[in-house]
Parts: sequence; structure tokens; C-alpha cells
Amino acid sequence: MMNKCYSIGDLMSMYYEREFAAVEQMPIPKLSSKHNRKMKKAFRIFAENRMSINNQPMKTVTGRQISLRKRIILAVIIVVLLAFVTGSVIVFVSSGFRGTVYNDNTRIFAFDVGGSPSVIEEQYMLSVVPEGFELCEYEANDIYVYSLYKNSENQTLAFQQTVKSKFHPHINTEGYDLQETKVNSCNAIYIEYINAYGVSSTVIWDNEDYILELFGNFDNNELRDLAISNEIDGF
Amino acid sequence: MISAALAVLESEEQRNELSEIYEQNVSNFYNIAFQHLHNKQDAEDTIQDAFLAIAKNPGPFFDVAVNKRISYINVIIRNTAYKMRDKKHKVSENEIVLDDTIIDEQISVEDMMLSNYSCDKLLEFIGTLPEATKAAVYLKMHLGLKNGDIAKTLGISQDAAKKRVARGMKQIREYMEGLNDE
Repeated sequence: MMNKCYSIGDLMSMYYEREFAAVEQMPIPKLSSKHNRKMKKAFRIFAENRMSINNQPMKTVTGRQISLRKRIILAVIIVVLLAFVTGSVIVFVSSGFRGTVYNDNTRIFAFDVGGSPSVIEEQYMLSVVPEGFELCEYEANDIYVYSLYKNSENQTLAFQQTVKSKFHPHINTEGYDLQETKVNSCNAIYIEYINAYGVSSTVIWDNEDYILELFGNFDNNELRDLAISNEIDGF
Repeated sequence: MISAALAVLESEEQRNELSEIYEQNVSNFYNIAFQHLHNKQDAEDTIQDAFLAIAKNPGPFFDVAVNKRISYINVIIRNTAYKMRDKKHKVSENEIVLDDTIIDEQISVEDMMLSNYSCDKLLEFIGTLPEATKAAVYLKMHLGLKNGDIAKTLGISQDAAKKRVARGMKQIREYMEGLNDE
């Protein structure tokens, strides 16, 4: 009988080759957006650790990597220019958002728009809606998807999905402050208004693909709970 | 303020070797996980956990030859799927108490002369070993990873990695000796 020479390493490799060759290759279902977000996060961690281990620069799809020194110089120039242009600039910064604070409003932008879709690729709709609310308006284009719900008492609940690069709304912050929070581990901010008309709030969160907003006649806790329920339940 | 301005400059889309492998082989990875879990959510979680483990400790990924990286990830995904399945069914693998004198230097790597028949029998025997043991032996003996890297890759202690390798090697060698006696 013919004999061959194997190491244990060879045998282990042969074993796994056979095992993986036997795996039935079926078409896979569409993977969830939660999965895609988590994978993006893993790739970001890998990129960061890769730099420290191998001291290898990141391979980029577009453009050249700007050195940290140059980036800091550019950042300082941007800040100085902003201060020069606006007279004085107050900047709002949270984990997921940044913004410029004006007298009566704050213009909000998303951090880290790289890798997020530049157009709406998957439309989100609320899967959890408070009892009694029904969809009464719906509008969608490449940049955003907007849906408005109302109940019999004419209370409103609006939901908007916006591509990150096009998200730069002015939020009314006259007499109110934006607060930082989390929506099911996503970076989020909220603001609650209490005035003669009652209570209303806005919750904005970054699910890594899009910026999602809920606003309506609810206090901030109710709205944040609703945001979390929809994140868990899926859109 | 500076950090806000810096963030604006860091918005460039970036890719890396790991994401490229994922994009090219995602259906293969999914099918490996799904084969053991039969559940979409669990299969997704398995892939996420496996890639996160690699992302947190990318050293071994770069130590592995480029043409072996997909097999390396396949093995991690399979091991993660087994762990998830066992966790769901509350199965725990007890570490066999091994003689502490078993150290790496005593793990023989000599080649073995085997007939095709013996080879098939041996592969069949390897299949009966616990998945965690097989994965550890594979990472050590085929990919040449250090115990510390095996530990981080499989999410176990360095001591457990060392024991699994030693245990697997011991069992394979004993089986080999039995085959030779036949």
C-alpha cells in the first residue's frame, strides 16, 4: 500500500478543507442593517488596530491620506476662519454630532459620514407606533424619507430618515439645550420643549447608515423609548 | 472645537483587507455559520463576533499567509458557531486537567507516514474531537500561531489554549499509535 508523509498540521488542514467543501452553498438572505452596522464597526476597529500593529497606512478608495499634523493645521485654519467669518463661534460637540450654535438655533451635522450611503438605499418606516396614531403624510426622495402620524386629538408624531452627508438642520435651541443620549447603543441627542402649547421633543440618532429623527407631542422619555423600540424591532 | 474640525476631514471612505475578504466571501461565511445554527440571526451574530475578535487582535491575521486567511476566518466562524450553539443548549466543555509538564517544546511536529486508509481513519478521528480542540490544534500546527494569539482568537485563556493544543496532539498521537499497532 502506498504511504504518504503528513504532519499534524497537514492533517488538520485536510480535515477542515473537507468540512468546508461539504458546506451546502445556498443563496443567503438579505442581511439585516444591524448586522451591516456591526460589521462596519468591526472593520473600523480593525483599521485602528492595524495601524498600531503593522504601522501600515490605511488603504483608501479615494484620495490620499492626510497626515495628522496636516489635519490638525487644517482643523485650526477651519476654526480660525469660522471665527473670523462669524465674529464668534460656539461649537456644539457630542459623541455622534457636532454643530454651530447661533443666537436662537443650532445647526447640527453628523460626525463620520464616511462609508454611509449617499442616497436612501433602504427606506425605513416605524414598526412601533403609539396607540391611536395613523400615517397621514408620506414623502420620500433620494435624500430623505418623511412620514407624519396623527391621532384623533391631532397630536403629531413625525419620523424622518436622512442620508448622513445631507443632514444639517437648524434646531431651535432658544432657551433650550441639546442633550446627549443613546438609542440602543447608537449616538443620539434630544431636546425637549415645554411651553404654553404643551410638551414636545425631538430625538435624533445616528444608526451609522442614516440619521433618524423622531419629533412630536411627547416628552423626551416617551420619544426615546419609542426610538429604542423601533431600533430593536427593526424598521 | 479642533476635534469637530478634524472629524470633518476624516470623512473619506476607507476600506481594508478584512472588509474586502468579508465582501468577497460573505455567503460562504454565512453558510458555514448557518449550517450549525439553522437561524439567520444567530448566523449573523456569529459572523459579527468572529470578525470583531479578529478586528480586536489583528496580529494573527497578518501572521497568517495571505492564501490561508479565508481558511483561518472559516475556522474562527465555525468555532464561534459551535460556541453559540453550546451556549444556547447550555453545554459547557470541561477542561481536562493535564499534566503541567506538557509544554510546547514537547509537542512533536514530526511528519508521519500514513497510508490512504490510515489517513482517512485519522481524519475521521479528528472529526470526533471537540471543536475547540480541533480549532486550537489547527491554529497551532497548521497556521503556526502562538498560544497567546490562539487564546485571543478563540476567546479563551492562554492556559486553556495551551491545554487544548496539548490535549488534541496527545489524542491524535495515541490514535496514531493504535493505528500503527493494527
